[in-house]
Amino acid sequence: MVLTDNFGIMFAGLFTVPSTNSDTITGMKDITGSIETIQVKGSSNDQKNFNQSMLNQIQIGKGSTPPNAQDFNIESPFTNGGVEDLRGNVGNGGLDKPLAKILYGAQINPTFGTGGIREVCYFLRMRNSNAVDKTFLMMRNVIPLVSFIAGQAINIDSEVFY
Amino acid sequence: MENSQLLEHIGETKTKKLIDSIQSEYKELQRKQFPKSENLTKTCCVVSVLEKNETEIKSIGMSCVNDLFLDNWGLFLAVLLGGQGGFFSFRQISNVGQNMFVVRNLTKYNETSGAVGAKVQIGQGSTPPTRSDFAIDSAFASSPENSLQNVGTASYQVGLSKITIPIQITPTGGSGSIAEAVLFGQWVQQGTNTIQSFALSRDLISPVVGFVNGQSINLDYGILLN
Repeated sequence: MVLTDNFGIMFAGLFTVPSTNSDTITGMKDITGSIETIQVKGSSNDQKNFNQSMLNQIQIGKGSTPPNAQDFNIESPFTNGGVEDLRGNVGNGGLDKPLAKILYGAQINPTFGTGGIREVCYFLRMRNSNAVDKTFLMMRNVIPLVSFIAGQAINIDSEVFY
Repeated sequence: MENSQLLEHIGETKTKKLIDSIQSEYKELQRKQFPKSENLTKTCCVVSVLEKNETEIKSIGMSCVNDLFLDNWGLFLAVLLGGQGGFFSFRQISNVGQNMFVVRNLTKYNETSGAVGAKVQIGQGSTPPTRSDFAIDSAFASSPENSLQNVGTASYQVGLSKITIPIQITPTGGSGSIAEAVLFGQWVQQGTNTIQSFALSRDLISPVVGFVNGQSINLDYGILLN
């Protein structure tokens, strides 16, 4: 798994200087490659904060190119015409304190095609400083091939340690 | 790099390149010692003492290889990455649970202006860190090094996958030996505009770093991404 530059830029913004109002950071790329500015604290307009309407999403795909911190979108999404082509909301989140690990996952029920999963991407949908919601790739995994056919349930269970 | 090897840098000029090099070697050491670790984030705090207005390193130490991000950090990440709404109880510096929203609420942790951000405190305690730590083990007696210090502007270094948070402290009265450092989030508790301090990571510093009145204590707090 690789944490993208988006992840680092966003988290650097969370450790902002507490005595100033320099509350925006720039440099994150949304899934179109557009450079975005986000507001990390509410000095000018609380409603524009990056986490005001945050959504956490996962998407599976066919791409097998090793992940790189500069990645900003999934490499090769499915094009079956089913839900497996799309980003789905994260569920099953939680914290396992004794093992110091964070849990998150998703279930995808492919409705049309078949396929072979090689990549799993994690996205955050965040508000930019113009109060427009944008989608950012935060983590990308390349995995051994997992095949599926329509009607089966694809379960993604991820855990990361801190 | 073993921590004791840091002593070779005493007398050298402190540069950003040197600190980057030390933290990169630390990351490699981590990978060798914990090859199966999938730790999302890891701290590496380099503490160096210089004479005021000079660049020569007088004393230097850094985090130990098994230092910890704390439960507060884990909970924050779990809420942020796990897509969980609602508020959660974080442990503030006085060991009191404080409810806090991370996402999707009008009183989120970052809702108010100015004081939201991060601080760091140094200390002389050597008790090994545990996940449930919520404060420094043993603070210094003299000011200003006995209190939480504002961080400088944090930055992310593309290519190194590292967040760097700089802190500088100039002791005015006391002397001592720095054996620990704690990074805090300064966050808004639920339902108020009150800022509270939440310990996020605690690092033991080795070798301990001595300082005297008037010197400049530099902390280069690195958060290394997996």
